[in-house]
Amino acid sequence: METMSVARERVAVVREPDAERASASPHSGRGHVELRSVSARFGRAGREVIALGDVSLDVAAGEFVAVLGPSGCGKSTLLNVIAGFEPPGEGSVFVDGTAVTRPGPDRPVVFQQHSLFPWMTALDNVAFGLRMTGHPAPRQRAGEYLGMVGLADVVDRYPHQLSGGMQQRVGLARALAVEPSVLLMDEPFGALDAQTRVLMQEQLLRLWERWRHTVVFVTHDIDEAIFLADRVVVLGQKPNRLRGVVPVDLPRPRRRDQRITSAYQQLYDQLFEQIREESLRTFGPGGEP
Amino acid sequence: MRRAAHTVVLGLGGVALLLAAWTLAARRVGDPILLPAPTALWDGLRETLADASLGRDVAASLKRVLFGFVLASSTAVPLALAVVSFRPLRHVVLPVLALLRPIPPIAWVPIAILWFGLGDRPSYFVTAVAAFFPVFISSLAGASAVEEQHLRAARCMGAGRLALLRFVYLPSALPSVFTGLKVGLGQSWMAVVTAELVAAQSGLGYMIELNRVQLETPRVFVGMLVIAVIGALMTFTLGRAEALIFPWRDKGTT
Repeated sequence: METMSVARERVAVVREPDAERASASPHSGRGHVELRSVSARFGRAGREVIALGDVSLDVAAGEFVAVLGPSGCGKSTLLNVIAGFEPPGEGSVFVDGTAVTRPGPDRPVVFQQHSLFPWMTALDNVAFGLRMTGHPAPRQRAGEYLGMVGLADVVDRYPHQLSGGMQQRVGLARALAVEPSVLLMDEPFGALDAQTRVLMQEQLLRLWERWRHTVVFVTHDIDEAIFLADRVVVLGQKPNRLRGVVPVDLPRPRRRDQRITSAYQQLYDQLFEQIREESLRTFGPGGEP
Repeated sequence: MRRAAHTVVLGLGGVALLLAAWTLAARRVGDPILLPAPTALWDGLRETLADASLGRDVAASLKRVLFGFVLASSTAVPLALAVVSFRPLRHVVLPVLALLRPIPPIAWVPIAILWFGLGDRPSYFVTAVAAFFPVFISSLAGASAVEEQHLRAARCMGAGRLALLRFVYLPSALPSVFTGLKVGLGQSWMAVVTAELVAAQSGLGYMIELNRVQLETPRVFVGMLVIAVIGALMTFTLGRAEALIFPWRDKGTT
């Protein structure tokens, strides 16, 4: 049994990538995501459930957007539509002007948990996308990305031999290795304990600040949304529409101690009120405010 | 370790009990043609080993089982994967197989003789039929149980239909496939004896039937015993191989 304590769970410092790669960032200017009047429905005709109602959203290339909302508001549906897993019922999604019709390595997803292939080692998991996209040296490149998330020591382990936090870092490395223009993250740290979650957020930001992929990050955690994102998109409930978009004007690089500033507090309260109102709607009758 | 020794002692005890009961029963019956004593089997075994007939029969049966088993597995596994990943095929294939499955392998023997004559070929056919269904059904169950999230993860990394089959469906299904192979090999081994009783002039089934006609009852029992031992060895070997083939299922080693 692998019982990895939080204390031993060290998130290694991000390794300096070689100057060449840092300067020739492949992501600059790519990754513009547009949602135009996107709706999605589940279920049979007559008893349909609206999973997403008429959402329009523009995410600039290189922007970090958090999608926040109470459970059942369609956050994951929104992500699945961008990923190409579910077709939108109405409207369309464009990435850099091209309509999304199916999943693709320009938009990989980091899932909440259990998405690594259990039959592959950490290295092979990360190499998978590289093999699919025809990279000339998938194992070598996979090793580099595992190094970047601080997992150079466990390349030959199988997922069940890794802690939950390590598994998510492998998942992150797997998605980053294909050098996507958009990174889609579906509550990727939601199943981790609080300490590991904080370390993961910091690691993600360090990687993002270097590469500046566009990130769409789904979460129900207000602190997580503020700490990570440039803008927070709040989804409302019944109908599942865009409730509001709140810019996060906190300087980068973000630091934990920004939490005690009044700017942070105002943001938090604003988001908290919106989420609370939305959550209250599913409480009892007479929801219209 | 003590526990393992304990198990072995108990197991040997069970075999000893069987032999004791058998010896008593043989005395009681008093007719070695109906029920020879266990000691008579020993002579039978030595004779059949000495004239090399036992080795020839074992080899003949093993060859038929392996051929039929490989034939069945190499069609059942790909067919199951294809059926799972390509929906319309499922609706074509599954009803046909549901219809054929209840036919026991032994019921195929007459038609196998009609089609293939005597010798190896009807046995290949019958052993293949016997192995096919357990392998197919387990593979189908395994591939159907693939995690949707693994499929999604693979697709968003750029995997197409063939890559999904090879890198996601197949490895997901492998543990179940292996269970199917174990059962299938066992079924195949039982079926070969059945087929050889009537459709061959060599092999363990033929040997049993020949010795029955010649009233060499101890040799009939020798044949049955060899069938049992080889069948058990097959199961044991595949069980051991399983741990080597699926390192990712080996929990608790770090």
